[in-house]
Amino acid sequence: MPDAEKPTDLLRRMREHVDRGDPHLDPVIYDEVRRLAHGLMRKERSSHTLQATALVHEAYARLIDSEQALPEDRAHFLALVARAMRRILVDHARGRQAAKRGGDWQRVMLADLPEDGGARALDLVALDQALAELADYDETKALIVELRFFAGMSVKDVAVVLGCGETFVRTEWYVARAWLKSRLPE
Amino acid sequence: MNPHDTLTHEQFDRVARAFQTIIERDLQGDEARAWIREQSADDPVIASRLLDMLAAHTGEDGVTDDDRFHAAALEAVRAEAAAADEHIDQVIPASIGPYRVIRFVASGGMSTVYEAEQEEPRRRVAIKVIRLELLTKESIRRFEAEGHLLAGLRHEGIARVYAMGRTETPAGQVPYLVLEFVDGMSITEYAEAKALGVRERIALLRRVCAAVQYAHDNGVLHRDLKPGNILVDADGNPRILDFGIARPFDETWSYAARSASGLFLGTLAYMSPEQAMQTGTPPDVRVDVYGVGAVGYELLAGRPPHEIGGLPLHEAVKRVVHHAPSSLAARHATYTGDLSAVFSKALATDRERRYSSVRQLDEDLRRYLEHEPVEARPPSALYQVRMLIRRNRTTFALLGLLLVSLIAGLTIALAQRRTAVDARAAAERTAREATRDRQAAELHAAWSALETGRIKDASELLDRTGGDATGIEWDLLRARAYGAAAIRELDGLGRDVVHFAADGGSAITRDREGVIVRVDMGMGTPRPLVSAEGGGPGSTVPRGAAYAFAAKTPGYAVLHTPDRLTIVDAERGTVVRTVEATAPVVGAVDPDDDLFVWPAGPQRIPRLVDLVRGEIVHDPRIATHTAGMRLSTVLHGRFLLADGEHRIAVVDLTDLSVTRIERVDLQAAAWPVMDKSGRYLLLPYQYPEVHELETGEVWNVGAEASSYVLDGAFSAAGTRLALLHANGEVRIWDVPSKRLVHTATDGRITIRRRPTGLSRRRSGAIAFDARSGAIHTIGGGYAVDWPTQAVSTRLNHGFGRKPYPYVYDLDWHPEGRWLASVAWDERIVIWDTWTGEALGAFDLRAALAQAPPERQPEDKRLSPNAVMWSADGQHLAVQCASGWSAVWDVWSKQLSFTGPLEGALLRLEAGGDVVLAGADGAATRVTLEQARRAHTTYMKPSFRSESPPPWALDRSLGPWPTTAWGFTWSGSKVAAGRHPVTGMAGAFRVWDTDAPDRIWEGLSSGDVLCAQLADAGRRLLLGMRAGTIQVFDTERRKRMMVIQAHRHYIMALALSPDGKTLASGSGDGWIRLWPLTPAAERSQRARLAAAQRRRLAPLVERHRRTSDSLAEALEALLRDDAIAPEDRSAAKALLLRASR
Repeated sequence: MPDAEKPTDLLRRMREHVDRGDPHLDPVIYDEVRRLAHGLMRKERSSHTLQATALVHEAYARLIDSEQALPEDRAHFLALVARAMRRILVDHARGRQAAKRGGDWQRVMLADLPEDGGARALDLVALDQALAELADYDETKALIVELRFFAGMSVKDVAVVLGCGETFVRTEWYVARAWLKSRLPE
Repeated sequence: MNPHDTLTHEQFDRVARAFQTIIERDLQGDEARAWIREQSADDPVIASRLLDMLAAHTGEDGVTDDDRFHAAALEAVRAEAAAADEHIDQVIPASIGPYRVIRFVASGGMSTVYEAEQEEPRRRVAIKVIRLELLTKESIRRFEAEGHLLAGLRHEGIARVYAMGRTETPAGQVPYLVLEFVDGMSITEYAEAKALGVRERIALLRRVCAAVQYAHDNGVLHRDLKPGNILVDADGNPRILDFGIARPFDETWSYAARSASGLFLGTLAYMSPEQAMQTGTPPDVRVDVYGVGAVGYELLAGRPPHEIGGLPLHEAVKRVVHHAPSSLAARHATYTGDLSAVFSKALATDRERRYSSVRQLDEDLRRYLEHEPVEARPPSALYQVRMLIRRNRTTFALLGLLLVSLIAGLTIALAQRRTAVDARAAAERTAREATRDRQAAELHAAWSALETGRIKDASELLDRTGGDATGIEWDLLRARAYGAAAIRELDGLGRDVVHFAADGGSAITRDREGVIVRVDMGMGTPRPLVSAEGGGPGSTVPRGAAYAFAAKTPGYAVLHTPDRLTIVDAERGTVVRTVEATAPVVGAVDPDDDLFVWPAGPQRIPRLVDLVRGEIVHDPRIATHTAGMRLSTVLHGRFLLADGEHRIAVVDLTDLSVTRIERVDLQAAAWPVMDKSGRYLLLPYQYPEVHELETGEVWNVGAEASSYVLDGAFSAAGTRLALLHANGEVRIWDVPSKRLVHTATDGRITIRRRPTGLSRRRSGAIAFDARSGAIHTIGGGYAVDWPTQAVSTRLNHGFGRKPYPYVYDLDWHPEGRWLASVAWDERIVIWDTWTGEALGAFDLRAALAQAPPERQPEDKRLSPNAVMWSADGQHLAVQCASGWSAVWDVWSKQLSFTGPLEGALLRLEAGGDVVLAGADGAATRVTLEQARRAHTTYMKPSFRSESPPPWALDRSLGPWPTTAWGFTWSGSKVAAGRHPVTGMAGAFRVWDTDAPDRIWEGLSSGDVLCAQLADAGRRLLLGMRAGTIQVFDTERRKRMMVIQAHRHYIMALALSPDGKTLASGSGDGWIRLWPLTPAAERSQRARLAAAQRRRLAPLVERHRRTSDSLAEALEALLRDDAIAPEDRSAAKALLLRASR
């Protein structure tokens, strides 16, 4: 995490950007989104990062969507990015599952899309539902989980972003995690 | 999840609080369960939930932040993200033209396919649309041209084109093709599903042949035949899809881009070698012969010709290009030699050996089915001759040309003369193409060597290729070859004393068995040297023996045991001579000379041995200077002596002057390091210090390090000092400024925690490579080539100034040594690129504050777009997105101007006047005085992306209709990229000021962030968001190369005025310098020589005409004042050549 030396600048930019209704991309905001997405997609052991250009564009577009509330601080901004990412990925997973169930996937042209195994280590749609339920009870806990999972942050990062103690975040995280684990089918 | 056990908010709060306590008090097992019982006695729902949570929390993987659940979630997110990234841009339109879209089917490299429904006649169709992000005039033209061609194809074996059209999208009009929708399975799946026999499979393949041949007869190539593109419908009729639509990667050279798209690998297994190799040879029908052969091969053998699954891309390409598929007979004994021969011929790596048409392949298949002998046979003698001709095409072409010229000379027929001219042009073209192909192949080989970490192979290949290649691709690859870090494990070596040779390219050490070995950096296994006993390579030497390379004579090494000095020729493995000693030999080799020194006799008088001649040099004067001190070592012609009182003395052997240093660490005095000029002395170890001998100044070079310094090395110029620490770190100091400039480290290397006292043992060594400037280290069992730019050519603009240290722009001082950078931190920093030092900085905020309030922009954001030196290098200007600009007089540091400039800053003239590009595209020159008085308004903040391109100053090239980004101009070319998101990703445009209507709309694979023209406009370098530098040839209009620079995006590129260094500024705040020397130097030299010849030719010609003899002409020439002394030898050569 870069330290939050210039959050206000970032937020001001974003506000101005949305106010202007500027369709042009703001490189700073874009980069922040891109950085988050890439941090998310980096494998632990290798430094390999997917470029994920389309995903980043999509997340950016959702973030800049003027219907959306403007971020008040950096934490809020990051939460919005994580939220956008969560929406995209869960929507995608949902679509994928629907397609699989529908079985309507005939073999036609250009049959060499990269292999997408389909099976995930964890069902994102179920996770999303459990997370929605948790958010209904306790938004902070849900936010921490969201930042952990959909923005790829460590407990320490989350503490920095939310501006609270690491111990607090860790405890909240453990509670939220145990809760989610107990709510998800094995 | 059971919806019935939903908790109320109150219940949830109790659960959360109780569980929080469990965590805070770290309650375990029974304790925790007791607590749960206590807390939830009244509510079994809460109790059961808490117990579930407890079980989940104390699962088998313990309590950590990142447990398996977390890992699983991250993995799922990551996988979904990867999958989503593939599909997400498929925003499915509800309809395309009159067709109702049913679903998205697939996305290829160039286009997207939807399944749709047509109303009249009611049928299912497939609709193919260009991917929006690849939309250019050129791609539309190609798509539509091919569509027209395809629409003409009417064959039962080819999916039909029903219609073509254009549809309105936010990106403009997009062409589409309406195709027959084929409902079926791939040809291989069909054959398996129906369990077809061999003859039925061949019959099926023949129908494919017929369809492909039909297309060929109509002038259409498929170029991408594979089972997935040949579907068989329910009635058993094969249908070929995806015919001939422009392939996106036909003319490019980037494997990186193709592998990133993921499309290439799926296709590679069926791709002809000439396509896989991407030599630029235009594909012909033999590409499809290969394709049909590959499909047939899989039909019969059950697997594709090349199994490349799991191979890295470059390996896979190599497999396809260099290896013939194993024969069918080898795969299955049932296939006879004939059938096997047919497919070997269809799949020949060399296309000359393939069937020259699909019809011929089809004929041979027919012959096989009808039991006739097939045509395919092993290579014939004729083939061998053809290959010979092909390999020597140029020679044969010239031979032919000679014949034609003779005939022309005899008949003097104009027509034939024209033939000769044509033939000559053709021969020249062929020769040029052959050279280019060879260069491309060699560069490709070097590139793949780099990819596989064979750095030395790559640099050797490049050095070899360099004889002809002059492009910047070569320079960049070479920069990378010398820039890639390579860590090699030495299998137990490098734990004993290590000595580098003077050029830093190899080192000498002793292995575990006591054998003295030579380690060549970069590659190769360590080789044993001859031993001290003269017992031949591989003999062991005792532990007390010391060894080193001679400095001047390459390959000579010295081994010294207590009673003998052995000089060996390490190249030949022979003993050159031995010198018996009268006293125990403990000494050292001068790192700068072929001299060995040891203290001899009771007075320990230093004796010098000339290693090459074997003479002992003894200078009695030295003794007087060394009384009471013990000789420690010899360094660059200087003795270093030490006594027990922590004093050392440095005696210069040329004038016997003595410099004394007090209070030193004697351990350090055992292995001192000196720069070549003898100005600086490094005393390493625990308290590493550099002593400047002339001034007596001392500075500590270990203050921030936690580890001993084992060895150090000064760069050739003495401006950089590299230190090897015992923890494996390499630290680079800038000597003149006494600053630490870089720390490089690799976690694997630890050399030794503590050095062993005063013993003369040093188990790690460091050296600068005289050839490449890279740094080599050996120690702890590893040999490392530290990357050049990592250790010496990275400048950190963002030094201590986080968090967004984007380097926005760079500009070289006209003299080529200083570089100005402007970055997010709102400073301009001026760098000395020779030393890597920051000379000074200009603060943009301070300059803004000096502007009168009415001349300050309302929007006070400073997003600096451009930094620019004046033509005379005296002034420096910056312009921000708002239009606010500042100009400084660099040497007085005075602000010459602060305020708005209306127009994009194009050029800064000597004296500080500015040239601005106005909104109309015309350039205007404005003096600073005018600018100060002008009533200018501020530009819109989005100025940068909407500004017109900087036209050549005297002519407008017409505005570019879309957003532009990163202008560059060189020679007659002007280029710019388009805005990465709002413009089309990856698009760029090149204008030619000599031919305004020759505009090239190019497309790169990725987002262009900056552009730089090089080689007088012949090459365009693009800095990409992905951290690559793409190189395009603006004349041939194709991409030459993609250099993977690093992972951060490249936001600025600047080529130094002498063309020797490319500076790149990136999103991580670093400025990297890419040393590009030889090719640039060569072309520069060639240009200068050509200019000189042009200048001298008329003078030389005059003397030749007016003189009677050559001697007279020569004399006149040398007396001619019009010819400058430095031009005389060139003039002489010209004269001699002209007279011959």
